[in-house]
Amino acid sequence: MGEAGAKKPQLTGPLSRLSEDNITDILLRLPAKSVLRCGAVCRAWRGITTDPGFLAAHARSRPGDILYTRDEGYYFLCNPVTRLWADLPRIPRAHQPQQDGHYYVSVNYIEYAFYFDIPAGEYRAGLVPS
Amino acid sequence: MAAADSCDGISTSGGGWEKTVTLVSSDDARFEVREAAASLSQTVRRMIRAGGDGGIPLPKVDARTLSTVLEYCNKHAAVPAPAPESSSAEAAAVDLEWFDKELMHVDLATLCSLIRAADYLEVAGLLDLTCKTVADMIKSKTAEEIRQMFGIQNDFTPEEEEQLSRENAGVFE
Repeated sequence: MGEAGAKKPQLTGPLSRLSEDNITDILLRLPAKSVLRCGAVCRAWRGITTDPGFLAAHARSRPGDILYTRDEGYYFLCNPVTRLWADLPRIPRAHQPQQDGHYYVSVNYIEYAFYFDIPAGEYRAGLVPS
Repeated sequence: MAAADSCDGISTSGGGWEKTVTLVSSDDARFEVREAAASLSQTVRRMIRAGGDGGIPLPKVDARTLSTVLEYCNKHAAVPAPAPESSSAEAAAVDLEWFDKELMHVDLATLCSLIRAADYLEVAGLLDLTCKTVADMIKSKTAEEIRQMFGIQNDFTPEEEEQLSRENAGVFE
């Protein structure tokens, strides 16, 4: 486009006065679908919206955006921003002794926690036998 | 001690005697503000503690922007914390929400100045409000509409654009 060597996009609008941190602050407040669209605006925005730190912060601030679905004892999750799906490790079927100690029944789980563990950089689910 | 030096006076607003501080904008306009309101800015709060003569200089904020920031601070500092669930608490919250909405009826350039000022002055509530307002303007727009709105140049190669639209198929409806 006749501007060889120009690394930074030439911003002419009001946004040119904002720092990358300011833009990050704005994009963090968007729903996942809009973040995805914003990643197609320019390279700078692409860089911000695909940064792991940004994605983690976005997931923390809008936990509802993480889809968490169970299907017959299987758990899987989806991050709508990255559009990546992942299966969680299969939960082994637990068994629990009954009062009389004679037999065991399989146990279902209740999910009590689902969160992004910042130090570990991974999602974690907490389950207790029901 | 030194902290008292930056407190330039007292005012009688609200019927009581309140400490005020003087803030000086980049274009040398002086604003006398109640300390309680000015302290919504963490940056100003630190400078009040550090002390100094002749007002607190804010070289990164012009008078026009600073007056809007202070309008926000005055309003938000004035709201006492009433008992939750009381009807007055509800009314105060509604009033504050209405005030915030009115304050955001400005053009995009002004909004961007406010974001920079709120960031520099560390007024968390105002930073959140302004960023949310811009986010709402972006929310339902396409990439091209956003570029036009902000004057951003599309610096992707045609190949990259192709790749992006493949990745995001279904999102660009």
